[in-house]
Amino acid sequence: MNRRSFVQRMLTTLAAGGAAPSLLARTARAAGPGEKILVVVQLSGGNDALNTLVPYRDRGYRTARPNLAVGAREVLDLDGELGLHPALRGLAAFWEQGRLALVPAVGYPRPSRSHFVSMAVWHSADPSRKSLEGWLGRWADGEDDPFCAVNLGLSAPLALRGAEGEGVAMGGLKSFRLQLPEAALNRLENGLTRTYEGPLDTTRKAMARLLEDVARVQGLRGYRPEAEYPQGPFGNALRDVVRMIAGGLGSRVYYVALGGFDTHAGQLDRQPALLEQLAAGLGAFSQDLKTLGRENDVFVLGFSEFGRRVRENASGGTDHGKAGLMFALGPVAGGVLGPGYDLDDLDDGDLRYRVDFRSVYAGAAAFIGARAEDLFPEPQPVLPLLG
Amino acid sequence: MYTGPFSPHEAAHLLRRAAARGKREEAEALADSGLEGAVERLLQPPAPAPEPAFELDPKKNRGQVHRALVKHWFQHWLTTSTPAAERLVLFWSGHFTSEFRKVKLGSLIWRQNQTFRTLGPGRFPELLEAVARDPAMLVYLDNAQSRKKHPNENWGRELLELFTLGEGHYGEDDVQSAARAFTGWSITPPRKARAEGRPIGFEFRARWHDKGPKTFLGQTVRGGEEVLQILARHPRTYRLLAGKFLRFYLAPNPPAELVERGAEVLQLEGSYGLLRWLFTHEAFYAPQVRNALVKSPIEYLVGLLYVGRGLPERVLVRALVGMGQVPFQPPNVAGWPGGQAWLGDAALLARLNLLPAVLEETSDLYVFADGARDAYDAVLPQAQML
Repeated sequence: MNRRSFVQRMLTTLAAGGAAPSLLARTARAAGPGEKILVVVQLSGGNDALNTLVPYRDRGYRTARPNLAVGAREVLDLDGELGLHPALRGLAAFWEQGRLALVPAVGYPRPSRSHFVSMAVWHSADPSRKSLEGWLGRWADGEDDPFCAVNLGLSAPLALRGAEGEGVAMGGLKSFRLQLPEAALNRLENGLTRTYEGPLDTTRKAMARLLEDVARVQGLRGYRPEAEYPQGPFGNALRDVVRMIAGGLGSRVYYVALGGFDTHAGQLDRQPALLEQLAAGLGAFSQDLKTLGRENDVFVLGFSEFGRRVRENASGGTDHGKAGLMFALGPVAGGVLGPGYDLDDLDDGDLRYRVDFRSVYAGAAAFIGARAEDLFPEPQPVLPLLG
Repeated sequence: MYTGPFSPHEAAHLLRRAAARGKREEAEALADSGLEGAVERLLQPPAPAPEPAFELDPKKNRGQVHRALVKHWFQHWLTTSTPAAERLVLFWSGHFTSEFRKVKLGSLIWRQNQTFRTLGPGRFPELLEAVARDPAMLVYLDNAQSRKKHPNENWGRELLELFTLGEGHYGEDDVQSAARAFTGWSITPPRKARAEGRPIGFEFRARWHDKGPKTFLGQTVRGGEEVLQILARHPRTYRLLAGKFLRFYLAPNPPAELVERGAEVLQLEGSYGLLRWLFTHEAFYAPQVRNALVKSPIEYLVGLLYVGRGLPERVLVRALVGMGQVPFQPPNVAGWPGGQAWLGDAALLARLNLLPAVLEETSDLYVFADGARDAYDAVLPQAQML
């Protein structure tokens, strides 16, 4: 099929709002049932690790947090020492089935308490902050399919940016379409059929690729998720991910975010609601994957740019800290991994990191067949995470 | 010196590159005044930008201040009689970067933008000296806290690596010497400024300053002034800047001999001198240079809004976020990468889907999109180019 007839067919398809059969065929090739998928969940703002996975027996914890400590009677006890915040009740079943892994005290050398510096470090997996590429972007550079990584958000995050591409970013399935009058679509079609010289032609190709990608997403097999997702962008994003998996998009990585964890004040009013949203979203997501028979093909990895200070502040909140908590859900090596918290050896009042986050990244990325050396400049030991 | 025809066709190219906005009648008027007259008109001294009429440093809702400043700058770029100055402000704000999310004070961010407007067209040493004392920069690169006991290397390092010499033309010890030389270059504590009802300004704290001699690029220096002088006289600085200028105004890969010549012009005659030289240069009107630059989202939006309908503040900022470039918020200290990096799926989709909200059937795209016949040509690849 030459480009002209391809674009024409696609535009007809877009106008009619239907599926494009030729593209579906390509998608099916890329997807393959049983393809392993990594879903990264970013908790933006610095989630308070100590009130998520709670060292409820630790005297130091209780002393540092006279108002915020989660008590022994409230926590969902895991092992007699650590417990989950009660707002995470929705995740308890996963723990019992060995499908939830928790990695406390995760961080990196010379930590920054700045949101954006630390987030950039987590995204680039380069604590020296030299690299402008993301850990998954480096992996994606070795893949053929532009859809190997998809972000649910307005713009592609650094994590997915590579030397060659930046993954695909979409605000949502519904909005990933051209909203132009028909006359403009026709003009676009004509404009893309001729070639140009130099950078102008590179731009033409980028536009043609966009049209292909839009057609591919709009042409996915329809699937209506059954589970009930929490309201808001996070729930919507997870629902879209399920639809893309079920529809056969073939993406190997999805990136979603839940924001609002910067709880400097009034933490008791805010963090539990966010954790509840997290648990409800992941619960619904897992339920739909089970219905699809894909629950062992999808690995969820969660992180936040830092944990918070051990000591609560005077505003009923906690300030920016250092080491934090990572989690993994799905076909994982369930349990609490790594050496755990050490509240007797703090770094300027913060949890000291005892597991390098790149080790956890490498353990999770092994699920999609990525090797540690594809992910970041400095080699790191791999934390075994796969169940 | 370019001696070919200077018709509205060439004038439109000049307008896109110089100002990122224009209409057919403006291209025609420029063509009528001839090449040199046109360049003189575009490079008149910058019209001053009005001070914002809103509170710049409220205790809460800083995001709102950021949005309002974006709108304020756009408003000025769209209405000023000297739009070329505004594209130059964009150039400098991608060079001497500061991020709103770190600086957090709208008054400082806006003052930095004003500095780029007033000193940006002139000679580099004056601009560099102002930036080194610019409160937003002192906060952004942590020099405001740098003291003899713990010199902070952030500013010293970026000054050498990104702002002047470029990597490979200095050593780690030069970074450390620069950091020591700038200890004590600080600002009025924000709380004190607020209490005394005065603006935050540059303050030199002698007690924080390391007075000892340092070796910097083979010379003995004591204070930051000497470091700046050495850098502002260094040919490498002008080569780095000229390369950046030509990538911003001429083509993604400018020829080395043009960069070399541009560096000399820049050092002798300042930014507008360089632009005057470039805009009247034969290379500037070569066919392979036309449509060779990708509009950044800010330039795309300025160009569109100039010939279309206005957008409410929130929609404006949302569009910029969606396209991947928000004023006063570069992705990091290295500024916006630019070029084809602007053309990822989501960004390109945002660019196209914005068109119905901004354009009318009768909008004049003669300058915005090369060769445009009508408003629908805004969907063509040419509309993405400068």
